[in-house]
Amino acid sequence: MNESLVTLIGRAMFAADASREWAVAASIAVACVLVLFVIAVPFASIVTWVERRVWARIQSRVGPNRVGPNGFLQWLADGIKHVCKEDVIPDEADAPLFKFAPYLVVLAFILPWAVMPFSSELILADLNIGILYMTAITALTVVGVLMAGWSSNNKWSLIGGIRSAAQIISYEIPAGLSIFPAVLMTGTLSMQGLIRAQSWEPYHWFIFANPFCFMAAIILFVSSLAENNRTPFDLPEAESELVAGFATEYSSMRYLFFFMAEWGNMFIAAAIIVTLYLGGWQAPGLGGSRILMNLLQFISFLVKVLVLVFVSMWIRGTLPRVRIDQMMSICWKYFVPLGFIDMIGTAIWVAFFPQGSRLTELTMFALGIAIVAVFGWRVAYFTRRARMELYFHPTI
Amino acid sequence: MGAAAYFQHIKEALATIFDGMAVTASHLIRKPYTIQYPDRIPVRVQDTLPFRYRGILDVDMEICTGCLACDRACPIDCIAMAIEKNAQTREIIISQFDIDIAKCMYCGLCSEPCPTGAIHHTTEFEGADYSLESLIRRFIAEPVVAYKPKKGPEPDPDVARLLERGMTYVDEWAQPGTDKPSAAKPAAPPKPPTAPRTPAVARAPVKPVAAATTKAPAPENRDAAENAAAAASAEGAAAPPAGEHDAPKGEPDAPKETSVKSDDELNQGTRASERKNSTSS
Amino acid sequence: MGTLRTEEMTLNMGPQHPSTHGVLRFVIKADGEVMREAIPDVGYLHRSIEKIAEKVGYHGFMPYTDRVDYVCAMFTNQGWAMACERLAALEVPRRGEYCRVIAAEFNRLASHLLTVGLMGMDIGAMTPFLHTLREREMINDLIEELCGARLTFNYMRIGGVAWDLPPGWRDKALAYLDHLDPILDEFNALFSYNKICVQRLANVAPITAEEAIDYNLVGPNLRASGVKWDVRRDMPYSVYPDFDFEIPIGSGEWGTIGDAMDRYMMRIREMVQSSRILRQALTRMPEGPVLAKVVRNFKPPAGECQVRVESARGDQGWYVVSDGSAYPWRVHVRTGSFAAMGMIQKLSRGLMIADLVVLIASLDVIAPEIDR
Repeated sequence: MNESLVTLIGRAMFAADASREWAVAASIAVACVLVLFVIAVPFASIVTWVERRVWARIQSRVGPNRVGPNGFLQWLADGIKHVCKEDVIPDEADAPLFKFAPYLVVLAFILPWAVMPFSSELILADLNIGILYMTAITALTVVGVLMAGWSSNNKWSLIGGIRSAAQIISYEIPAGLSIFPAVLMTGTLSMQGLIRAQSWEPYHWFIFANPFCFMAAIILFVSSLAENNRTPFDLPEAESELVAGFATEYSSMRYLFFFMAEWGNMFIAAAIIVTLYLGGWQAPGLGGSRILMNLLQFISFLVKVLVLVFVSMWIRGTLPRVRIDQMMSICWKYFVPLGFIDMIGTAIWVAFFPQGSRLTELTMFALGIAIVAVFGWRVAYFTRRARMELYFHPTI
Repeated sequence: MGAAAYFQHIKEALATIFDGMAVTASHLIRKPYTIQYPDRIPVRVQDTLPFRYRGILDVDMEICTGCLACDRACPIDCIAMAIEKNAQTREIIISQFDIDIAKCMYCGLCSEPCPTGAIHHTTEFEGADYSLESLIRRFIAEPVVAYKPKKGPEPDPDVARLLERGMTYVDEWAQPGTDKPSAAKPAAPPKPPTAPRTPAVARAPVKPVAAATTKAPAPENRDAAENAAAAASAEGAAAPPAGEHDAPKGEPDAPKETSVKSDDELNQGTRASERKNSTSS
Repeated sequence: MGTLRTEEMTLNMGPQHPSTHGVLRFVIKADGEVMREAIPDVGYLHRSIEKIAEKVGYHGFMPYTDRVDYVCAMFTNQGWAMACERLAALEVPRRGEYCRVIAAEFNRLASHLLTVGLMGMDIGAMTPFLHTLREREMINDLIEELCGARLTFNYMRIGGVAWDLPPGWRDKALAYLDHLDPILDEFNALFSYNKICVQRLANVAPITAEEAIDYNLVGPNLRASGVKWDVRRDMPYSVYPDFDFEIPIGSGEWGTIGDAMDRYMMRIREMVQSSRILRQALTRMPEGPVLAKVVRNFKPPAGECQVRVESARGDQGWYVVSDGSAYPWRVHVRTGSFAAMGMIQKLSRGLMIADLVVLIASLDVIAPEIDR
């Protein structure tokens, strides 16, 4: 089935004329708008609400719960507030660069949605270099951040921008190296191809295929945290040191662009990991209609991505941030060697087990379950121990 | 860095991050600690605050004796009082009692020496308003006669109620005493606070001509002519603020020296009214 | 010829900054990320409190002492009360001393909770900060029931304390202490033993014992460098000799002796010791009055005295000169934070900007104490 979202929309809108040039162009436009404004931008906005609520519960408090049911419209209120703010451009700042920088960052956020595999048919363009395209485009953020830091004419912003550039460029390498194991196992760079090589049972996901892939998935996850400037790697926007890092001088919507891009990039990074290692949209084939199958696959993909995004938020609420030299040391001394070991190890593994090894898959899967079980036990331990909630002057 | 240290670092990082994530996950499933003031709580916060809470000051003018002890004690001069002594009727007329709660630092030094508990801290803390002038609380509309504590129980029931509340407030403060060996007595069992306060029973009657032992500093807004008389009366009224307030009732005295106290004894009320005061003299 | 001309950046970590503890200013001369020097600039919170004492008299000054260090106000209250008592040769009743110790140790717990939480927030972990603040709220509730205020207590008076323990308070206090022990373990698991935290704090700005003594450091900063000096043990006052507690000193188990991790762990360990003292004090309180008889017009005889209390930030010295009148002639407070500021310039050479934040947080400087 080599359908794509574009052809689906073309057929739906234009029926017989679907293959004419103008029809194809129109359906591409409609498809892009659909993906962006139905999934990408709402996600980047709603995730702020989710993050604030999750973060608040981790910190024993409630989070926004006034605007809309359970505070659901908080992101809308924030967006409107930011749009209504005065757009301040510092006098000495380099105005053209200052204005253009957020757009570059947002570009890096928008372009990867072209290859996002929502289901076996819902993909804008199934490029046969899909994963390479994604990795390349997400590196555009560096240019935007550097521009922002420099053009603000503010030494603290400059420090933030340079830190961020160093960080993103450095962590591209472990991220790229960690893509290789999955690519080696399938021999293709296309997103749909990588997903079709896995199947819906968890032990067939690539993360459990061999220990090198397991390690590569973890390295990919941590590197993607670093690329998105998320804690523990949020030095560029270290709130307690640099106020807001490279975005200090920005106000109103330009400021929001940076952070919309950051939250949206969380989805993209999670999507990369889900595609490569967690089986993508693979869902049990219930033999129903085509629409049902697509829907199921879409939900499967979304759930997996959202779980990873949740883990990313959870880590943000837990860990302190690393210093710049420690971050470099982690990247170059730990992740890069381990990434190389993964790559070479997977290559040797594929040479020995071209069809994969069932035993290893099941063993790794059992290991994964064991880790989750130990984690659950530890959570229960902490919940049991410090259980007493003391309220000396209760009003609740 | 040797190979052993390298893998040690990795192991430590994974273990501690695992533990940290477990702690935060346990918080995700616990109840939050937030009290959603002011609109999603069943009772007013002011009603849950303890009795000793030092909120915005309030003055019950019905029981104010005009002794100026609060004015003198305030370290930031936020209380402005004007009193004068009526020469014929020997009454004290209070014509001004202003407290600037914007200046007040809620230290409690004014309510400590008040003999009747007229000036006291409430549990009110919501004082925000739109103008600075509204933060000057004026408690006197027209000049009033100061309260004179009666020899017997207070006849007027409204004033008696205020007086009871005031004396309960004053009772919370520590009573001065000394740590002589004979003072070591076991704590008396807590008395239920039902008996109305009759401070007049144990108090010396307030006379306007008590011997002035220390000179009173002249407050502002006072006529120079009434200085001496007012000072004497002020001193007289201020003389027994630290006196005992609990009437000596028939308490069984159990003079046993115990070094190990039972939980009940240790957990009893330790208010001034519930302790035998060794310095009742 | 041929060398690259570089300049050092001069940055201003201004008085308004999310992570200077209070209103402090640093002028940082940095070469990229590494600092050449960080010059502190103090005085933004100066309120002439010592001069005010000369205007309000002995009793009236007690609420002002709260503001000298509003995070641990009980110690300042105690210092002032002890200085006046020493001038007038007053003796505080034993139960009053016990009340003082209980209040002071609860305040030490609250102050240390704030400090370790702030360390967390300064290095980027927001969660530990909110957890410690939640625990501190419970202590605030307890003290609110005791004396009516949550931050500026004005609890102690010359000659004792102003209120005795309310009924049922002792049980609540013990329940809180039972509640706190597993919370501290959980906090350590979340934050103190976290590898990233250890890496950020270990080996940052180690202070040797000689340097610490030379620069007048006191309190947990001094003890972290290995010097076993605690005013409660070495110049005992109040009823501290009655209690059995240890004085933790820095051991360098995470890095070097006297580094930021040691200073941070000092506070965690001191919290455990405070808990011990509190349990002993609450269960062994004697009966009796809590306030000695003091005249309202307090006029100590002419003379001077110096008193030291072990506050949460270290050895706090109160020096009072009296001229026999109702108003003191001169009051001076010597606080641990002021001395710690003097050391920051020297310690900051060669640190990174991110480490400066860690240094300030580990020295636990509080702006009101520096500037008074």
